[in-house]
Amino acid sequence: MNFALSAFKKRGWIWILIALFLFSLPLFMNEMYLKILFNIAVWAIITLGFDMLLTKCGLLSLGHSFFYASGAYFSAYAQLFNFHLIPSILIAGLGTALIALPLGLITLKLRGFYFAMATLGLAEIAHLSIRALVLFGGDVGLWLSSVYSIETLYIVAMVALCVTLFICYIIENSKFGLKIKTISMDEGAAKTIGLNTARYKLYTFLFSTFLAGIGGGLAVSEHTVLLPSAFLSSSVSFKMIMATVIGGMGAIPGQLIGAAFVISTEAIFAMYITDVKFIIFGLILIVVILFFPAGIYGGIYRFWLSYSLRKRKKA
Amino acid sequence: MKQLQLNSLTKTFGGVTAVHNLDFSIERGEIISLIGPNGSGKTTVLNMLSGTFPPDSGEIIYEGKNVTKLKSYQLCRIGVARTYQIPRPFYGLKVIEAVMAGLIINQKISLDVARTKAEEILSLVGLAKECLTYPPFLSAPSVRTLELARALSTSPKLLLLDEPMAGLTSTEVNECIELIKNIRSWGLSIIIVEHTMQAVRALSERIIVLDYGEKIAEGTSEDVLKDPKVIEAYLGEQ
Repeated sequence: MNFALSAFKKRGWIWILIALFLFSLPLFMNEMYLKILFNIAVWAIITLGFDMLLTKCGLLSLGHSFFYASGAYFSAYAQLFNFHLIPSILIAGLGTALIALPLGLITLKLRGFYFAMATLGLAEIAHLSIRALVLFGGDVGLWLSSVYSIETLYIVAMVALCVTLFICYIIENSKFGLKIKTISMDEGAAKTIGLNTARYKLYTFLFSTFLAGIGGGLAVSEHTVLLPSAFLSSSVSFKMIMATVIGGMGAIPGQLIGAAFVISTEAIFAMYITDVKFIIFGLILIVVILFFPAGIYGGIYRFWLSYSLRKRKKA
Repeated sequence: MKQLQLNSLTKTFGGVTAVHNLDFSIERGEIISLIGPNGSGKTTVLNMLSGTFPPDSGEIIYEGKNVTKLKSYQLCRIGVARTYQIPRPFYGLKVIEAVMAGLIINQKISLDVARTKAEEILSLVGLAKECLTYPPFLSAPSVRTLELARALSTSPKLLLLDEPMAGLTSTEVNECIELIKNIRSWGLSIIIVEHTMQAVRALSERIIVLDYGEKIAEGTSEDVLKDPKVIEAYLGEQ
């Protein structure tokens, strides 16, 4: 905790100013823009979890849409049983992690490509069976009775994002973080220095799915309609990959940038035909991979580094 | 008591018998060398000892306990550490972080304590200057030393070194020999797989020669290197 305190002492006031600004936005901001900011906060939470699994454990989950949707269903049912917003979102996160536990025990035995395929299969099975077998409302979905104002939702999402960021920052600089970093670099070598990699992969997987569940729970509270096609389709997983890769894999600010980028691009193109957005995303993804292999954040960071080096040389 | 005892260890890969009915043992504080031509099963023996894969038959007794079925991380916890023939450093971690990882996994200490301990280990092996470097920027001998430092960070009692001197010049080999002698003085037992005869002669108290997965000779370096069977395995029949 010491490093967190010292980092806070150094530039704490900037963070407080940013937080105050973000939390005061509902006072003067248009509802439409507030909705976009809410979505960015939700997606930042999800991609932070997704990125942790991807870059710290080296596991690409193509089935995170399943955990996102599972959070949505948990939250929807909790609200239908008259739970308030915040408890229902916590139920969404915990319930999703609970479902992820047996799935993780099975799928985490697989590596790399096979893990990606297994999770993709899992998500597709869930998607099709909910729609075909008319489980949990089937194709029509669930309709929430409780409607919360976008201001309330925005504040809740921002608080959740702040807490998530804080936890991610702690993990990044902790013993746990160092241990799981070794897994993504060389799992065999991590085992030979005594790390029970299976257990640590499971912990990270549970944390990642917990965040996806929280994100799903928040998103459904805003939509108020749970359509399986919107929550369970594989395009949700691809959106996570895009946000992570475009923003910058392995860096916390990169996830914020990625989420902001994907959601705002989506909002701009939502006015036109929705299918256009994936063409645009694809093009942007190619450009980013070619010119900024470390994502937008990585690109900015490298530019800043070379700039400050040049400045130091002159001085 | 013997620290490590192998009883008729056998491992086959498909139709190839990599190791066949191998027995040997090592006393506490001893250094032994495993030598033999390429493909004679030396690395397979190390892989079984470090738990990378289990043997098909036979057993491994470590400090009186049967550890044949243990996984590599469990073996590391009870004091068996290894290095790899082709170094496998954590490419995204600084030298000091890799050593710290080994420390915090095996001991209940804070990151700050781990950092000072890691600095001690790195200065012992002579990597103190490269502390904050990433492995891709290290020279070949430094990467091998890092591999050793990472193994030492798990506080081992038995060290398995897989060709620690491959690709080093003869000056660097001498430095490495001094380093291993230094480490050995802490009371570790060491098994070295090595081709560099200079190092094998200088270090080992006992040499075990493998050929096609079977032990063909065992003894002190003078005896073994004169053995006609060993000469035949290395140079072919006269």
